[in-house]
Amino acid sequence: MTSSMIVASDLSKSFRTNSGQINQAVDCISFSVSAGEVYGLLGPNGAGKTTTLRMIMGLLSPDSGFATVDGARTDNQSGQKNQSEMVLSKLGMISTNDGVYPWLSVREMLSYFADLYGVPQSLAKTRMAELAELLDIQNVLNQRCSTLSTGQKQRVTFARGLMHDPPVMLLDEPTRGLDVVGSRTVFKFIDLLRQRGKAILLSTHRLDEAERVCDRFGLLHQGTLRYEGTFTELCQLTGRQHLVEMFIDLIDQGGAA
Amino acid sequence: MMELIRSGRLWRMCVKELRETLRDRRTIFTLVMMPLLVYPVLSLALQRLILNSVSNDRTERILVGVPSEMDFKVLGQAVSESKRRVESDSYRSFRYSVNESPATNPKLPLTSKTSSASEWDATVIEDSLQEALESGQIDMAISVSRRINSDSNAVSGSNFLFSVTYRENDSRSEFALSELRKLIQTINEHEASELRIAKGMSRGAPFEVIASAIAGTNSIASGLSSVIPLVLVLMTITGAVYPAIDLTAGERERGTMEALIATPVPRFALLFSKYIAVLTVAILTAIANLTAMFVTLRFSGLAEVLLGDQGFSLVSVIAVFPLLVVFASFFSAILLALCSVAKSFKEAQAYLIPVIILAMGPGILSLLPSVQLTGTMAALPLINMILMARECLSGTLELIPGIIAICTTLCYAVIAMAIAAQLFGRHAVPQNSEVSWRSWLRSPTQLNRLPTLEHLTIYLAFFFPVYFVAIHVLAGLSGIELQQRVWVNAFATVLLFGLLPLLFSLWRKLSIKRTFPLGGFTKWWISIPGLLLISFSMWTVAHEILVLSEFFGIVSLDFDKLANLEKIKTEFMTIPPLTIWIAMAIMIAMAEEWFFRGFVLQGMLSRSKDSRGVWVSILISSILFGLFHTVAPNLLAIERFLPTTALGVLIGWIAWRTGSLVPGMMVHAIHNGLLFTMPRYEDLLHQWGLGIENQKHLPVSWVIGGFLCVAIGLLIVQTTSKTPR
Repeated sequence: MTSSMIVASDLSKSFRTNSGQINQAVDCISFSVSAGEVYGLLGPNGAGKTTTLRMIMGLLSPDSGFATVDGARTDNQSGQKNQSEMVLSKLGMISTNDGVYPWLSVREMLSYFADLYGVPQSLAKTRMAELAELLDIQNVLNQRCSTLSTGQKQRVTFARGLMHDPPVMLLDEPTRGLDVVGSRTVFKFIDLLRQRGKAILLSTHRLDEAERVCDRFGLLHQGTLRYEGTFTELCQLTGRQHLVEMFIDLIDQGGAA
Repeated sequence: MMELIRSGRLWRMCVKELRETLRDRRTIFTLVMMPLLVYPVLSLALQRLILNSVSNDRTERILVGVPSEMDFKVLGQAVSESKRRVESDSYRSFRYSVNESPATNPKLPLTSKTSSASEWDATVIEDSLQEALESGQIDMAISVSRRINSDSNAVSGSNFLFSVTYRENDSRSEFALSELRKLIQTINEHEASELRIAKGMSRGAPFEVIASAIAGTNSIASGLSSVIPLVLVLMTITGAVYPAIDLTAGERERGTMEALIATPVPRFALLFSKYIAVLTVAILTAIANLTAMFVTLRFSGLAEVLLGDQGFSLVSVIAVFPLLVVFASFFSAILLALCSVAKSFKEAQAYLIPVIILAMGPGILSLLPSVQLTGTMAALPLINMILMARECLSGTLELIPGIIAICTTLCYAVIAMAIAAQLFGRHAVPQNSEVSWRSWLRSPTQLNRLPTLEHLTIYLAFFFPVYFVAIHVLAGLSGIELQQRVWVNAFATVLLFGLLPLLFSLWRKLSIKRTFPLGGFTKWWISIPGLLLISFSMWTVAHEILVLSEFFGIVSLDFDKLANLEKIKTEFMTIPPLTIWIAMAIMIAMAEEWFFRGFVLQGMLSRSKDSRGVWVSILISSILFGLFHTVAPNLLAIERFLPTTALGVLIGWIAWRTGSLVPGMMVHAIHNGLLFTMPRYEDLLHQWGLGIENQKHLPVSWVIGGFLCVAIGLLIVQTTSKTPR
């Protein structure tokens, strides 16, 4: 296996709720993702998937533990200003919550983000053309984002996350709100990204699709990583044949615990 | 950040933000529609208001004060004469019809020439005529003097000069004056035509009016003239509100914020591009409002009523515009800081509404004509800009308060931006409930060893207004004894320059030992002879630079100062020398060194890599030292700048060489003490051929001696101290 592009090492994070209680969102999570690998971070709502992704991004600082992207710490403990910028430029983040700028055209929005990542304008143009073709958004490039359909918006978001061609992709529920055809397009695209040698961390609850596309899995529940491994390893560990069954077991256990 | 500017990315980021905002219909609405609607409606309302007040005035009597019976008689004759002539003239009488209501001609209520319905009521007030006019008991004061006609062709006859005093910008008083002028004109015209008809001769006008104005205090129109700046300022705020919310809280609500802060661009750059967009929209709104207001006031004829004879000139519009830009830069920052905390549009609106209502408070206060742009008022945010705009429009703006108002407002803008930079993007990640307003106030966890440039900027932005207000408060203590004032001043200086930077450093977890280095006595004690030499001869340098800068025309704008100088000097003689040395020399020197050579200089020194960097740091801290000394109550003591800056460089160098603040404190204290005790020994100094009070150069031998001593002192310090790393 090649060197790990993403490493999470004993990541923990707790939040104080409004009522003053402490909610342990993520508890000592460790895993790693290599180049050309899709790692599925699976778990029910509130399991701590998004928090984990945000800590890897460096958007949230972990209470303990750390994450590295291509060998560099993302929590900027070293105090070097440029380091966090270097890490961020290697990351592409796509989330369900991501929106678009309603008053900008797709082209304007994509070139804006390319500019933010410091992509030269000529390169940004060729990359935009390529991504537009791959994601089938050529026709809407000159449209205002407010006129796009949900599926189109999602694909534009994908394009936005890839304008700087990052080696590491973090995908947070990329198919939420999409229909079957839309999800299929997304997972096909993830497959393509893997072929291009990107390290992909995917959080999703579409277990059937995840089963097909992910190389390895981490099953997350109530902030802890319950099971980790390839699909066959998981089957051996849990004695189940499908992710869905493993999942239901997990939730039942969690409820009992 | 520099890289972003150089590559033009920052510019493109600003363009994107602006494009996004300007394409939004809601922005365009506040930008275009509001001014188009507000001003016509406002002008109608104002017109109604003024009309009422003026027509009320008209039904009343014109109250005139005269100094003697003689004046009373002449005035009475003139009034009855004018009435008689008007009544006898059938052709003109309809124009002067008593019954004609002014409301039938609502457009020009004050310039109407059709009324002589006023009743004249004159009172003889022998000695307090001026006070009666000022207090509003009378509308104008008239004194009549008789003149001898020198024209040989003229027919003999009485010839009177009416010297009128009235209140400027006071509608009642100005109305009274115009009525008197009309009355006199009527008589003069009739007289002239009668003479022509009867004898074919001419004579000079029998009556003449000379008017002189005193400042009016009680006037509806001048009060209303403050409405204009208030409306302009509030409208500028309105323009900035929507983009500020949309580009921060709106971005979060749309879900683009997280992607934005995940880019490898410093958050401040993102915020800055948004700030530029908000500021641009605010400025566009200001332009739209100014234009709409200008057009409305011009064509409704309200301008003359509100702003006096000169009306609403294009020049005054152009003068007000930069003020609105300064104001917009301040309020845009405030709005961004507030909106950066909000998670949604609704939340942002909830934060902004109270702020805008709060902003109305000082705005309405500034409507009072008695509130003037002086002293503390010039440092109060918002109110200073409204007052300045008002004085700008009425042409009474003074330079110094204007500069203060602009400087303090820009300071507030910097503070607001600093806060916004701390808050912006932190909330991009939801459920992270640990971040709030409190997080900004919380001390940093990382230890920042020495003040950074950001620390300095933020601190100065906060400190300058505080310092300015403090100076004015201290100047207001004129009631108490001089000696007590000296002590109050000393403690205030210690508080301002000593305690405040210390508290700030503790809060920001700066290293107190390194920011304010006081130790190292073992290292610098051998430099003491050199330091003493400098201390006792430095005044010659300071004095020569002062004389030179006055020679080059760098003089403060206060002309009373020279007259006061002698008085102050004799007053100072009454203060015991011990008080002078402790309160005016030691305490002040310690506090100022603590701040300028400690807080300001140390951080910069630690970051300077070579000797050039060291000199730049010393120079910057000295310029700051000089600038602070030019701020005095209601004036800029510009002549103090160069000598103080030069002393700053000297002491800054000493602080750098010795690595301690104490030697500088010593030199500074001895220097101050010498300056303040010198006048006591004036006779002795005169014997030595010195006359410092004359603002002249010292004798050449003294100059050479003084400069030589300083140079030798510096050399001693140089050789006895190690070169800092």
